[in-house]
Amino acid sequence: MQQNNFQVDGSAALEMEDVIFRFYENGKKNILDHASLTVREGTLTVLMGSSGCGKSTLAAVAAGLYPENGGFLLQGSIRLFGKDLKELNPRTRAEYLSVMFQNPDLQFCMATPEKELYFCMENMAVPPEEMKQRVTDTAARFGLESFLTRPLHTLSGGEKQMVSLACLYVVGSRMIILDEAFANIDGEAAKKIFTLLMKMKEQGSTILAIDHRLDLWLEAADEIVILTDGAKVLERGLNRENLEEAREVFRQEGLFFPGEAGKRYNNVKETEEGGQYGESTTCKEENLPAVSFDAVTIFSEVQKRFGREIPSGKKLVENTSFDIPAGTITALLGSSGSGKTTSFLALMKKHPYTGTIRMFGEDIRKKKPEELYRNAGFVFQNPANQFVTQKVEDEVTCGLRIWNPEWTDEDIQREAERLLTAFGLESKRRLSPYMLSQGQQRRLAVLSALSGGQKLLLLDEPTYGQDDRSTEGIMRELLKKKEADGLTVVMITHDRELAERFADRILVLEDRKIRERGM
Amino acid sequence: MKAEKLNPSVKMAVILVGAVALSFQYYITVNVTVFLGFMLMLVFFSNAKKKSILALLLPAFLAALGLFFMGLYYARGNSLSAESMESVSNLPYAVRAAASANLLTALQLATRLLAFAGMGIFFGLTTDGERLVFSLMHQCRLSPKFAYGTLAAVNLLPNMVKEYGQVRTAFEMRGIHVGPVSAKVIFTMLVNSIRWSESVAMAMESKGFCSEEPRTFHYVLHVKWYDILFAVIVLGAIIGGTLILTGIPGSI
Amino acid sequence: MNWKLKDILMIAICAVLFGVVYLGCTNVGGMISSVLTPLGMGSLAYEPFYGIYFMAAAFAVYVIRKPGAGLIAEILAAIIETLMGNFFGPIIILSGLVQGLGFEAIIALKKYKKYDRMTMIEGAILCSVFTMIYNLIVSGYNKIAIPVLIIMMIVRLISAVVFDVFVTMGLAKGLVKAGLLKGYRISGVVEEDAAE
Repeated sequence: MQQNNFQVDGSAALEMEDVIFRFYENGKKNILDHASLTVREGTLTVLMGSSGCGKSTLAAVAAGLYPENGGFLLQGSIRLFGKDLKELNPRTRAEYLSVMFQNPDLQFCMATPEKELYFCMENMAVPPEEMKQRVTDTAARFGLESFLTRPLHTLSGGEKQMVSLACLYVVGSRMIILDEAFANIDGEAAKKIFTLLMKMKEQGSTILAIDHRLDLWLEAADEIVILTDGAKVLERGLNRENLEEAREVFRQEGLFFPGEAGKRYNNVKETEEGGQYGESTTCKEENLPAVSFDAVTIFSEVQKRFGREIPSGKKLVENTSFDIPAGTITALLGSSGSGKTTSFLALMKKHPYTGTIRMFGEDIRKKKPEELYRNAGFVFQNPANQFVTQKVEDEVTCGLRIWNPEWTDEDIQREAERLLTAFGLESKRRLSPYMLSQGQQRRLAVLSALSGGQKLLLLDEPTYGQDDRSTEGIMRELLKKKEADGLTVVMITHDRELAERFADRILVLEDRKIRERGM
Repeated sequence: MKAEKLNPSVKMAVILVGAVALSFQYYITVNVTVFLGFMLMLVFFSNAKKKSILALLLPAFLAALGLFFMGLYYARGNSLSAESMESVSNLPYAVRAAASANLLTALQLATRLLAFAGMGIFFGLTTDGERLVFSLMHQCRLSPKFAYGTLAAVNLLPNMVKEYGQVRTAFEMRGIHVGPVSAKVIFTMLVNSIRWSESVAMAMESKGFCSEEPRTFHYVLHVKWYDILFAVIVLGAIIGGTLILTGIPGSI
Repeated sequence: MNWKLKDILMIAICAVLFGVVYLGCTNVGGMISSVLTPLGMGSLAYEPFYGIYFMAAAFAVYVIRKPGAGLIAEILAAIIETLMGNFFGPIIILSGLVQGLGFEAIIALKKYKKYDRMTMIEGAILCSVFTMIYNLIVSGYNKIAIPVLIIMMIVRLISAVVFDVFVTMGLAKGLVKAGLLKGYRISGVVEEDAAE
């Protein structure tokens, strides 16, 4: 009997023993490959591991969300607070364990935070006469009062995640898993949620945090566990005292060791550029900035009236001027919803503005959209939104064909081959782009955005949905292209460390101004 | 008393039965009465904004006009070509008779469409989607799985619209021209939709949503006396009106 | 019938998507309609998009492959269209029911076992025929001259076959290839098709 192998320990919140889980019944790849994990009641455990190691799947399997919503559980036993998971239904499972997910847009069923809280309580069969008071108390505790009845889709990512936590609180689960819940929100919001989470822990909640950044958790974590392929435990029992011993494991798994941001940057320079970094590039000789904003004002919304666009809503950017020199990597920071993406769209003539925007010295008002797209590529937050074919290879050839109509099929084939090889995607050429991992998808998106020889690349949140290793892979690629072809990169990010690691300049959007920040 | 307070399931049932009843009669009087009746209810007994009423009425009138002209030119047995309509007064009696017969058909069809639109607009502007779904759950035994699944999907609409715009922008920036309906854009959106369905299902289940266990309800909608009154008045007017007019020869 | 929450959400979200697309098309239809109206053919302008109207059901039938899928998907789509707002309001649910029956009938006849192109074409045809019967009664088309109805029927049939058979099947197969429909019955089958 499997049960005999269990440590008999009344204080275990989650026990997973020798679990095998895969997405395709007859496939070869086990996402969870003999995975075992124990989390003690009342602790904060942090789960780390490179992307694709199966940590999110582990969370979903532990919560019973898989195989209910996909995949096959072939073997192993899972217990929540001593109860066999198989015997629990979603409602009874939620009494023990619930999950807060990464994407704040896809966690809700109802239209407003208030209604969502009612929905959660109804799920748990809370008596209706108690509900109103509970909503009031919860809203006060989590600071939701000011947006309790606003539509959820109008809230910021941080506010949405706060609502999410409040929901788990009213559900009353004894254990909470956070599956990269802070990945897409800014640092300030994450800290607020963290503080409330710690209050819940003091009152006895068990917390399992899956994160690719340790910084926020390090001080409070009782145990840090590092997983490797198949969600197997590579290292456990780590905490802030003995973390130093695991430095090598972090490096080997491509994980972020806390406080190492500065060093990384130097490594990249030395290994990739051989010390040549900082030399003038070809483009700089022209001396024209890649992008320049001159007294630009951008409104959040546009109303169309009688075919004319009338700006409305609040001012996102007001009377702002700045230059981005060609052949540099620039990061644009700023809290979520401050208008970074909208500024990018204005630069591509996809959002109206007042003032003058120039791209490589030319006023974009005088340019046709197609001419702009020929000069600048855009990689969206969700790269899957910009694939236009159903095969990786076609994705590249399609771009090449559009931008180089004079090329022969052979030219295109040869160039596609070269690009795919350079970006490490040649083995995936026949797959559907959607079959790729998040990191590979973004690489393909970059590759196809630059297939017309674009000199400027706009990257929106390049860290979205992937770990450091994949982000770093792309950034190295772009550093190389910057050196070789004088490519200019502008990236929007909320990740200060990424900006410090790779950007030559950092711009900050704050109080409706875009200013340079000292490095 | 406001139309918003009516039970949504009753309102819906009345309109569906009313629509079927209207489909089996051809009295312009009945159609126009229904249309005007619902419009008056909207104006005097609801919180609907005049602007939203007009915004929905305009396409309804356009559609009615389309049907009107179709009836006028192509009513069965009395087809007229557009040219022969140019100067009606100079035409022989037979053609004018056909024209007037066609005019009657045209009005019958167009006013029926307006009667439908009146009911539809009334329903749309006085019914909160969430209350409708709750009411379907409580009065019509719709299972919570379908009820909350529907609500979750509808609440994704703003995200959907945002994403749809983004996909189109992304395609354009890649140099691909996208028409008003592009299968490629729809494909990308379907990819998102399927991913979303999985994420939302997991989030809902993680919060304890379960079809096997009984749930409590924050509020439950009931059928009240005024719902019955509404049903009696509306259906009474349609069916009663039709029967009375049947008894009067020559009525239209 | 054992429907998972995920399946319901999938159909519902797709119905919202097709609803958005259809709404966009009716705007185009409205413009064409205002041009055709003086010629008495205004109502014809919406016919080319009729197929999009059944797409949610066609997609659900083809992907989910369970008894009741077409009917449930169509009613769900109709409720969603009611919620999204249009001037027919809940009357849409009547036509949704009729459409769903069209697809459901053909697939039930084949005992829920055959889902090839021919079956889908038959489904689309029956769907169009059923909705035309609905229009004859409810929209009063029985008073319209038969040649005009034949023209409408032909446009509607072409639209239904294009959108509900070719476009829908193409989209679904692409999704299978992208590994997105692995939990659904369609997955095993289409991979076999592709191997042939």
